[in-house]
Amino acid sequence: MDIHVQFKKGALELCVLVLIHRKPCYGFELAQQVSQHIQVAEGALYPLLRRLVADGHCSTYLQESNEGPPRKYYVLTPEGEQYMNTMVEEWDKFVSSVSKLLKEGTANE
Amino acid sequence: MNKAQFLTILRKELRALPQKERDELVEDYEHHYVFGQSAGKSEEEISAELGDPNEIAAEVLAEYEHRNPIQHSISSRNNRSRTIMACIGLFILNFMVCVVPLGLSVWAAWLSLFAGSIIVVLSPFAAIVDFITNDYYGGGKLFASIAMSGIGIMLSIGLFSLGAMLKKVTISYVRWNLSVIRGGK
Repeated sequence: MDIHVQFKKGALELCVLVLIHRKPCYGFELAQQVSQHIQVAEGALYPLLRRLVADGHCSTYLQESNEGPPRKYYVLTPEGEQYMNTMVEEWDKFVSSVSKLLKEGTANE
Repeated sequence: MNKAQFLTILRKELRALPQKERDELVEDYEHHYVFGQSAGKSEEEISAELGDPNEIAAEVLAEYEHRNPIQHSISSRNNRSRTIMACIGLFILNFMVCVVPLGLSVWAAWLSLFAGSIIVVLSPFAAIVDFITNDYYGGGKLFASIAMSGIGIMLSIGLFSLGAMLKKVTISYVRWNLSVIRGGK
C-alpha cells in the first residue's frame, strides 16, 4: 500500500471527528462530505465509525426516514469532543513542524 | 463490481468476526448502497467509491485481533485442531517419554521408604513383643531397636519434607498439562 493512502487514513479520523462535531451525520452523508475534501476509499469510514463508538468518542441514534432504511446518526460525545481537540492540536503541531522542516530543506538547496 | 458481489466478499472475508459484529458492519455497507442509489448512483459507482472489500475486511480483522489479543486464534476451527495437537503431544510426553511411569515410580519409592521408616520407628514395640512371646530378654536387642527407632524418626521427618516437595512438583505438572490443553501460554 502506498504511503499516500496511509496519510489519508490518518487524516480521515480527524476529518470525521470535525464533521460530526459540526453536526450529527449518518454514514452515507459523512462519506459524501469527506469525499468533497479528500479523495479516500469511503469503505474505510464504517470500521472507523464503529471504532469511534467502541471507544466512546461517538454515540449513535436511529432516525426513520420516509424512504429507505433508517439512518444511523453519529454524534460526538463530550469525551469525543475532548479527543477531537487534542487531535486537532497534535495535527497542527505535526503539520507545522513538517512544513518547517520542508522549508528549511528546500532553502538549503 | 455490483452490490451483491461486494457484500458477498465482505461477508466471506469477515467470517472470523463474531456474528453480531459482522452483521452490523455488513448492514452499514448495505445501507450505504441504498442511500447511494437513491442519490442516483449505480451499484458499480458506489463500489468503486467504497474501495476493495478485501482490503476493508483485512483492516477490520487486524483491528479486531489487535483489540482482542486473548483470543489469539480467531477461528475456533484452528483452536480445536490446536487442542488436539496439544493432547497428542502431552500423551506422548506422559506415556511414552515416561513422565507418568517415572513419576509413579518416584512416588512408589517414596511410599516404600516412608512405610519402611515407620516400621523402623515401631521396632522397639517389635522387640517388646519378641520378649513377651519368646520369653527372652536381651538388652542389646532392645537398645538396637531404640536406636533404629531414632534413625527412623529422623528419616521420616526428611521424607515428610521430600513428600511435600514431590506433591508440589506433581500438582504443578498436572496444572501445566491442563493449561496446555486449555490453550494457555
